Amino acid sequence: MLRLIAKLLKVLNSESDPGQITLAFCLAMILGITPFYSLHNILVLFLVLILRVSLSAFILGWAFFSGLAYLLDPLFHGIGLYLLNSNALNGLWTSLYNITLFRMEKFYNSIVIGSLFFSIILFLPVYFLFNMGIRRYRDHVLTWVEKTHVMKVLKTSKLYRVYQGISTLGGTS
Amino acid sequence: MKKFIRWQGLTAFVIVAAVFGGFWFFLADGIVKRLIEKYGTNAIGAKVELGALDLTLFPAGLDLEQLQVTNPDSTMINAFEVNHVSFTLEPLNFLRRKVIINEMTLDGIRFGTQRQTSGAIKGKKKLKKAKKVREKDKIPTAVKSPCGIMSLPSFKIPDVKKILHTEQLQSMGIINSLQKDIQEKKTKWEASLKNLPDEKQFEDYRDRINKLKSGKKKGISSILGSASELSTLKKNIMRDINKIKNAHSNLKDEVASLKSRIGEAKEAQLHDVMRLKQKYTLSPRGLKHLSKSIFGSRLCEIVQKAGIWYEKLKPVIEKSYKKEKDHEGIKPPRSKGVNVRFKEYKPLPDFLIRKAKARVNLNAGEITGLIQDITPDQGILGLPLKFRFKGDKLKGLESIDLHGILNHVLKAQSKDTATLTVKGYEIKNITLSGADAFPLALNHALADLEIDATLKDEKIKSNLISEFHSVSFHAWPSEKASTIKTALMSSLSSISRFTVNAKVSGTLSNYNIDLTSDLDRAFMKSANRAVEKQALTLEKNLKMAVTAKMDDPFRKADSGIGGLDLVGKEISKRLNLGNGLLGNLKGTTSKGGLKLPF
Repeated sequence: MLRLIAKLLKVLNSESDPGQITLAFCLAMILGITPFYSLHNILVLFLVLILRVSLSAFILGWAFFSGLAYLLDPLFHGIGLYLLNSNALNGLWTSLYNITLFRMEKFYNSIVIGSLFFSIILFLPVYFLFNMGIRRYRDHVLTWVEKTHVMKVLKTSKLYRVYQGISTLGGTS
Repeated sequence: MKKFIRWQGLTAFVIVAAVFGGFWFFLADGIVKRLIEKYGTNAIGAKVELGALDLTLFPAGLDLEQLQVTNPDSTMINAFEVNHVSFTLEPLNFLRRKVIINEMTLDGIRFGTQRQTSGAIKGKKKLKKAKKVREKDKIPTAVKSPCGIMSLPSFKIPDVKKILHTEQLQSMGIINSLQKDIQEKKTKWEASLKNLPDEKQFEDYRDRINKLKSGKKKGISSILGSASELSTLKKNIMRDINKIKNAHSNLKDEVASLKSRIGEAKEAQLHDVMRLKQKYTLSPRGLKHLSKSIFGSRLCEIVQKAGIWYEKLKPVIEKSYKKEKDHEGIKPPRSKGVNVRFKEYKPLPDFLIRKAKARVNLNAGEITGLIQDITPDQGILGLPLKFRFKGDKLKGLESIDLHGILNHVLKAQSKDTATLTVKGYEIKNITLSGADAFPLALNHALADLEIDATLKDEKIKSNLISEFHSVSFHAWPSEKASTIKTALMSSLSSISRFTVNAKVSGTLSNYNIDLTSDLDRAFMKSANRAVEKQALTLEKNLKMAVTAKMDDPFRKADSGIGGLDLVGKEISKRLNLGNGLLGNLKGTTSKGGLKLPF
């Protein structure tokens, strides 16, 4: 747990561009929330590898969103079932159902479509919110935190030693 | 560009893809082989084994070598074995999760081959599963019954002692109730006798008469007094005599009724003999259905096996769908969800083998077959399953042709038909009946047969026409063989050809077999006299045994009636006494003694 928090802090405090971190988080959100063995996840993995995004942030985000997905499973099923049974969308689904690529995507499964819809809808808001959050954290919180008495005490703690250990081991991903 | 793209990432992606490709190339064969064996074993309940498997991508297909499917009921024997199975899949449809096989070849299918190692599955769970599968295949009791009833009749004269031990005699019931009635009546009449005027009463009357006779009457009043007393006396005697007369008449009637009931019991005794004779003797009618007993059980076995195989194959031709439209309220397993189906522009079943060519290796030779449109979704495909298997000039079989259509396009109107034509099938040493009563085997015969079967609305309708020629039967002679059995055996030795026709109707779980054969005529002709003779012997034995059994109750009944006769004699005696007294009284009034003065 301490390592995980330390890793998070390291990612946030690194020199990486906030966009790289948030994009990694957002892609991790898709991978973590939707069933792993889905066709779109090949594209997600491809993007993660080819785009200069923070791999540490991606792995952290994947772990976080996988856990979240387990809790939100009934919600995804409900959303998916609503979408698939919607009369307005029936024509679209029927067309997609007759295209091999989409059939491989298994979009007609309530969890697949529900979770994919959920993650795509949240993709941009999460991206901008996280981006803004990281920038604010670095500009205000980090400078202020380092000056506080608590931080000075914390620097002598075990957590800080772990954090430093990680910082020395790896550079920016 | 460099700011956004990580070219090493592309390399990593290619490496990962290559690793997956390599994994597929080197390990997929083994994985698919194990998957087929695992799922096959689970489905059958006994080992399903594959010698080798080759998975090809271009064209997408499978080659299976040495497929062995163990018979779950006998794990050292394979239910069937196929030397080589090969097929190609339609790749685009496969990506759509549809297994569409245009052509499948099954080479060297053999049934009931010996296994080198046991095909039983180890482990408790697996055994349980296997048991479940076998339980499913077990013949329902309702199916067993039609075979059970076709037992051969006994040709021996039955033991009358055993018959009388188990059977209720109607005559015995009558005589027992008669005995009870006789006893009741005897008690009643003995009590009645006490209330009837007896000897003492009549002695009393006599004394009074004598007194009147000897008395000297003086004066009119005395004479009148005597006359009045005499008249009263006469009235009393008359009343008593009438009482006795009535009792006598009643007793006579009752004794007559009891005697007639003894007659009825004797008649019932004869009826009992005839009834038991009919029940336990082999009638010519029984011989009429002898062929049903001989061939019926074998035919029944065939129908049962056909039923079991049909039930096993049913999932291949008809899928049981769950209600798919109503997904609301369904709580699927975690992270599984539910699949919603949409209309397909070119609908295809999830599984389809358009054409399967099979070569079946039998001991007699090779039979080739073609099965078309194998799918559990005939409704989607719009075509029924058709099959045809043919073999010519085989060893001990001139020709065989099996063809049929399993039509489940409209599930509610499903209809399955099959026709089997066999010509010149050489039968050697087949046991027809293993029953002790009449063990019989067919040493040799050449058979031509034609079977038509239709299954519609769960109801089976099947016709069998068969002709056997160059026939040679074998019946085991025994020293204690009954005359009927000897006669039947001698009739079989002269039969060189016969026909057997059968009709099967009912449902797969409860069917009726109506079997006729011209053998029955031959049996009846030869065994009729022996049957009659045996019936007469049984009748004689039954008469003797029933008479002996009824002798004692009849004697007791006779003696009971004898007791009532004694009561009758006593009543007659009293009646005579009364009548005598009355005569005496008449003499007194008319001839002498008391004479009136006017």
